Amino acid sequence: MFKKIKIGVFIGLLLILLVKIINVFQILLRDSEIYHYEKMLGDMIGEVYSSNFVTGIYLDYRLYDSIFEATILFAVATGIIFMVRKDIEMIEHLSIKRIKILKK
Amino acid sequence: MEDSKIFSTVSTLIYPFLLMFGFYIVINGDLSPGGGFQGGVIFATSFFIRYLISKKDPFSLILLARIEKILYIFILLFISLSMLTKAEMFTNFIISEEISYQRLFLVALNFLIGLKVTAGVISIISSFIEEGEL
Repeated sequence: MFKKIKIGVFIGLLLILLVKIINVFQILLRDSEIYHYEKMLGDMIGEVYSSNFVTGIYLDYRLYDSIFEATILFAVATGIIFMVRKDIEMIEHLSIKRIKILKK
Repeated sequence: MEDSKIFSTVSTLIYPFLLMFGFYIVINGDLSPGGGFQGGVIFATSFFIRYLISKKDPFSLILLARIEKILYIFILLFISLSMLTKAEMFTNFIISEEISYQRLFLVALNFLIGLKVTAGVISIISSFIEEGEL
């Protein structure tokens, strides 16, 4: 019973995907590339006030991406420091902080 | 790495130009290819060259991690200022219509991201230096 439901749901999802792909191709065929570029660049100069389009994308439209890029770098740096540094000084530093928190 | 006179001399020659180049990439990021991330990595490379010349590692890891943490929080606050002026998250917060004022946001954000990336990459490099002699 469950197997049949699973197969049915899978086939349905595949059909939705197929319809979506056909839709995307239709849109691509209808609007040519040049039209897209002109539209994007013309809007960008007015909105972002940057003559470099890459800067306009990564500091205004996709600022989320830049922020998470910075987050990933931050995580990498702290992780490497945590993994590399296992000497007595670091452990003492951490334990002193923990003791202070416990005392409070 | 073995001590080589040619290597240290060439590094000493390159070092100030590399600093200048990194600063140029960060500040001019909104007009030409480049930006905060790339300029920050160039800055960090120049500090690594300084280590190769003098064999001294002047940075403490805890301080660098703290600087990076503070800068990250500062960037988040700087970006979310647009919530107050334009009621939108993560965009330009300057209302003025003039291009020269609007560009200040891009330059400042590039500069902050450059400082943060510099601190991060220097901390990575100096943690590797501490682990084993490079």
